[in-house]
Formats: sequence, structure tokens, C-alpha cells
Amino acid sequence: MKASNRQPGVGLFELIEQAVHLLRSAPFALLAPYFVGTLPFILAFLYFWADMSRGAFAREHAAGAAAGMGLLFLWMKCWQAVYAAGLRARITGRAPEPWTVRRGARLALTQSALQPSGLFAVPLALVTVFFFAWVYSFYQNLTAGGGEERNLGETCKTAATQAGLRLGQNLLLLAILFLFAVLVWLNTILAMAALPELLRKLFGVDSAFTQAGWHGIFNSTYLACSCALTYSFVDPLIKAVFVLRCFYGQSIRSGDDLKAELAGLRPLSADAPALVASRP
Amino acid sequence: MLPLAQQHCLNHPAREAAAQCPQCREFFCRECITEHDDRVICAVCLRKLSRSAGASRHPLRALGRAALGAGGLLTAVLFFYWAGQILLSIPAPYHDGTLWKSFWSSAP
Repeated sequence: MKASNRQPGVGLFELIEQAVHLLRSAPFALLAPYFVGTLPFILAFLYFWADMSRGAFAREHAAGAAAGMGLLFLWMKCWQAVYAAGLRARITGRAPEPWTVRRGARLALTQSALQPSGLFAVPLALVTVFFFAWVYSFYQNLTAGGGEERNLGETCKTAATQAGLRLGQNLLLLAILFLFAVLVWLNTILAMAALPELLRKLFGVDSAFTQAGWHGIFNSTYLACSCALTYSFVDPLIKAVFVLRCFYGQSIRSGDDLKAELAGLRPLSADAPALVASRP
Repeated sequence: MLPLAQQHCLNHPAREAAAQCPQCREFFCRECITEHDDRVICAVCLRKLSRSAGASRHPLRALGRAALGAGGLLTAVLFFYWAGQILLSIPAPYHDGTLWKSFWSSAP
């Protein structure tokens, strides 16, 4: 292959493998911000869904419930950006920057200003698969980048540049992640169906799920619950993939991947004199 | 003026110059220059640029950013309000799944 035809960055499967490895080796403290942000939103979302689909007085308090959901959505996006910042620090091998009030406020304002538009833009972009890949990546990059640039314009510019890099790879990446999410969803829905039945057979615990029978899986709250669980299982991986993608994309100019590799070599060079001395 | 190959660093006269700063037009070695905004620039000019960027910050800028944040919150609230209205407009048999139950039970 000619050197000019080679594309910078890492391959598709290598990227996914690195993301999986990053999550597997991550300490709980690194994953904690993600769940601190996401779990309240998911629980509130399920309550909102059940309330709006069945609540007798739901129409009366729809506006208040929507305001709560909006606030929790922003809460989730801010914590997801904190999680992404932790992943970035781990990838680069640098000590994580301390969270000051100024840094936190900047992140919260950037995420609040930019992420909500994705609620409308991403479903609209689904109309065309090609634009969906770009738009979805753009919003993932806003989280992955953390939005810690000087202004919103720069943040958008960085996210857009990274979304435009290796579009073909991006499309394939999303296709693989979608297939993975579907498999996880099938597993989740099967586990949700099997667990009450197992409890009934093994311990004699009867529940609304066992009484409803298999028709219960067509209940919309049941489906929403399975989707929400799938999201909480798959999304940390998606975030890790996009953090890595941004890292390699920005490394084309910054050389951060080389610096990270050199940082990884440093302990070896520190031990090198000892190793040399121990030689006969 | 001598070409770059024959120039020496302004800060380190013993070192050969690696680049010319586009701001102050002085020559510098690799250690004294850095990349900023797609161009190679000396440390002194970079400091001046960042200082002027900080000074040019308008007091209303933070207010504007806060307004954008509030706008974002409003967008999210609107989305969930409409999502709630859509959920409210769907008939109960769809939510309960009884629609499919009756469909299967009526099937031969």
C-alpha cells in the first residue's frame, strides 16, 4: 500500500478493542461519574414513561414532569462529560486535571447549551443514514471533548472536525455498535422475561410479571425498561469508543498518541539502569 | 536578511534557528517556538495573544453563555413535554399490550 493512501489513526476493530480494554481496566472511580449522572435520568425516564402512559392526572402535571426530565437530562450529560474527561486522562497517561468551580461551570454551560439540540437533531438525522452518522458523532464528540474549549464556537468546530474524520469508518463503527446494542437488548429482554419465572419456579415468588404471562413483554413500560437497561450497558462503551476516536483524531496534529506511548515507556527507562546492573 | 539556515535563536545564540515567528519576525530554536492555531509562534507572542484574548472578553459574554445554557434547558424541556404529549395520545391498549393479546386470542 502506498504511504499516501494510508489513513491516520487506528483501525475500526482495534478502536473497539481498545475501548473494551479501557473499560475493563478502568477502576470503579472512573465509571462512577457515568452512573451518577445516568441512573437518576433512567429512573426518572421510566417513571415519566409509566406516568404519561397510564397516569390518570398525567396531563395536568406534564409540564412539571417535562421540566424535571429536562434538568435530569442536562445532569446526565454533564456527568457523562466528566466520565469522558476521566477516560481521556487515562488514555493520555496524564494526571487528571482537578475539578475547579470554573471548570465545572464551563463544562455545565457548554453541555447545557449544546446537547439538548441533539434531542431533535439526532432523530431528524435518522432520515438519512449518512447524515445520522455525522450528527450522532458530533453530539458524542461534544461529550468526549468535554467542551472545555474557550468558547462554544471552538467546541462545535472541534466536534465537527472530529465527526468528519474517516466518515466510512464512522459509519461502519455505528453499524457494529448498533448490532451490538440489538444483541444486548435481546439478552436483556430475555433475562427480564426469564428472571421472574425462575424466581417463581425456584423460590415460589409470584409477581405481576409471572401473572401477566408472556404477553407482558408487549407492555410499553416493559419495552422502555429493556431499552433503558440496554442504554446503560452499551452507552459507556460508545462513549469510550468516541473518546478514543477523538483522541486519535486530535493526535494527528497534537501527537498526543506518541506522547502517551512515551509516557508508557518511561517506567521502563527508569528501571533500565537496575536491569542493566543486574546483568552478569 | 540572512536565510533561515544561517540564522540563530534570539534567546540561545549558540543554537541554529528552526523557525521565524510570524508575529515578531524574530528567529527561534525548536525549544523557543510552539504551534498555536495552525502556525508556529514564539512563546512571548503566544503569551501576548492569550493575554489580549483574555482582555477582550466582554463582561456580557458569560451572561450570553448562561442564556444559551438556559435556552438549552428550555429545548430539553420542550422535547420531553412533546414526548409526554405523544405518550398521552397513544391509546391505553397499546401501552398495556392488551391490544396484541386480543389480536392473538381472536386469531384462529
